[in-house]
Amino acid sequence: MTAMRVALVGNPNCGKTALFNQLTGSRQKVANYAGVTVERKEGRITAPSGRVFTVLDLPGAYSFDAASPDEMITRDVCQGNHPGEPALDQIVCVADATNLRLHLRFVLEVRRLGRPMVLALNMMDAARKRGIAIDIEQLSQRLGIPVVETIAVQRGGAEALVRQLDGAIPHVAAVEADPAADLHAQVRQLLADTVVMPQRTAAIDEAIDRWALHPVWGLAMLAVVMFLIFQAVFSWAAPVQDGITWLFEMLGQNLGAVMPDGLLKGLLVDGIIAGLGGVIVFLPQILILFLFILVLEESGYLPRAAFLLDRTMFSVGLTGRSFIPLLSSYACAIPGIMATRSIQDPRDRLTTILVAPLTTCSARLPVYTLLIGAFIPRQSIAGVFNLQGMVLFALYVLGIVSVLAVAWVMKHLRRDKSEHALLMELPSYRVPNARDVAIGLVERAMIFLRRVGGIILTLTVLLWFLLNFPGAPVDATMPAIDYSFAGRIGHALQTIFAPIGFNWQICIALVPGLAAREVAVSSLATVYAISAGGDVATQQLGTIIGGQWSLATALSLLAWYVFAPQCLSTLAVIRRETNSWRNVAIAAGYLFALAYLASFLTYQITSWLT
Amino acid sequence: MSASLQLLIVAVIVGVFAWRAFKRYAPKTAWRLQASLSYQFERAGRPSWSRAIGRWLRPLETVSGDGCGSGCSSCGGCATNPVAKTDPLSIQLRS
Repeated sequence: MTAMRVALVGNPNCGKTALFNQLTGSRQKVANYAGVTVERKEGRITAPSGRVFTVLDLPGAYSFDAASPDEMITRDVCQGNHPGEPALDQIVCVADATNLRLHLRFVLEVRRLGRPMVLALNMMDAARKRGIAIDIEQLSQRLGIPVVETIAVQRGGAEALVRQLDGAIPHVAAVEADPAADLHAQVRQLLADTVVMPQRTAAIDEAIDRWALHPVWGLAMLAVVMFLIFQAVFSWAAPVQDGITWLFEMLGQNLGAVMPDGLLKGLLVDGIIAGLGGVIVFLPQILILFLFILVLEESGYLPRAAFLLDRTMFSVGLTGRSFIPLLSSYACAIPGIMATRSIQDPRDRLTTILVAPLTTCSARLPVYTLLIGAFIPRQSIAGVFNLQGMVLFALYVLGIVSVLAVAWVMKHLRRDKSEHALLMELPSYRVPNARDVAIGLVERAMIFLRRVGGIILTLTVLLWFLLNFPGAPVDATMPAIDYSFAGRIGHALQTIFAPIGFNWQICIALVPGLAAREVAVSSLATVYAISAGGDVATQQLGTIIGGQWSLATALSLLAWYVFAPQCLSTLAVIRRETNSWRNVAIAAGYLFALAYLASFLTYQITSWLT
Repeated sequence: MSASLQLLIVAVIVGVFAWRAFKRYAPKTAWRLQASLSYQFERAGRPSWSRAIGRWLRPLETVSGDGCGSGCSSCGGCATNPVAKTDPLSIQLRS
């Protein structure tokens, strides 16, 4: 029996993906702001009767007059015009029960298609809390379609919908699409007849927004929130990091003691354990950072931050719509670049794509914290603030400033101008769901560990090979590593990077670091472990570089990582999303040039001052 | 453990990881290479043991790329989920 095809559609941020997760048991990303889903997602459910449904989760759309690439997907799938996508058997139109004034308009538009459909009134728990009463029976009669209640974030909150889908397919009479018909007037009439709403917005939202959206206090609040996050990243992570370091040191020492000397021991101890241990130690900091990001996402604060920054962003040539893609880039530039599909104007979209690699992705965190930990003293300022946390905060601010600066330059280079004002829905504030946050953290931990066990382990093994082969000749006068493939590459590259203070070890780490930024840390750990040999190999990487590098070199490397496109995957996604190699060349060219310039200035000025 | 045995084990480990990296960053080339190697073993007239190796080497019908390699898993594997080809995005520079 072929599975019935059902699509979840609706306005952005009405809970489609949460409902999709509830129905299919999947764990797609959800957050309390519009534009999280930019691609179609597919899952399966088996109803109590044994019928199988294929469920599609489509990007949110405000209307079928698609203005952005993600809305086009929704429109084409609903109308049966999407290439390679079979026609739908039924449409589930999801609407936020607390905001029917906005969401019912799209329901009426979908209704005009005359296809079998169901209306799922989601967030019914929040609606009841606000005293909103909906006459479901009456609404169903007026719309001519079945209406069910759902609470996507509650276990069993989609049972009514499953029962409805499992029953007979509702017949929906075709509606004559009258372009002159005012959908808004129809919505107003529907609301007047079927909904009792004490007030349009929640009182608590208004109270918080008086401060959070204030042009001065709102910005101050945003700065304080960000500052506290980076303080916590350093202050809270230290004990767990010490534990992980101890674990890997013990593992290295014990394995080294029981294994006979030779190549295999070198690969395991100097290569894999030193390399991977050097990266895994940063897991607590990454999780603390994401704990805050997840809480902010769930709370509904982030769109407010977008609203606050809109004027600044518009003045440099970006729009407020760029905020969410740029924010996503803090996790990884790749989903951030993909999230630009929600930007309607192709010129604004390209500008956002080109500046997205400048945001401080989580892969930079191991590099930053390694260097800060090694070179910035662990001392407090005014007895409260952590100096290391302040430096990390400054690096993130530098990333934001560089995004704005590059966008401003592009604005002045561009002949084509866009004038798109920000229209963004501000969701209600919500107390973050502890379970969702915990699931989000586990997902982030798994992503990081998969990277460690995948690309980082792979490149660490290959780098170890390049650092050990060929061996030193009989009449060698230099350390063996200097004769290896990697050693020779490092020395060759040093000619280019000497003016910015990079030694040959750093030059080696930059090459595999192109695959993923954290690989630079594992590569440095492997290079120094092999160079040192013996007991020194198990020392912390931070201690080693702290003793061997100058402050100028460390700051220069930090500046390099603020700008350099040290991630081939990002460049690949730029090619895919813009369908142009020219844009890849522009991105790589300007980012490398900026990185070299920033490192050169940092190194020369610091050398002169110290 | 003798030095030769250690060398052999290390060679196998490095070889496996080199192939893994190759598959990740050049999935189509790796697929073609694996397919042609499999064909050499499976050609008509080859003994049964050779054909068995060929079958084992035969790649899957589609290239199941690792996506973009970011590991973020947010996009459902971008290498296998291409967006529709549109006109390239470009910026008009001031003359």
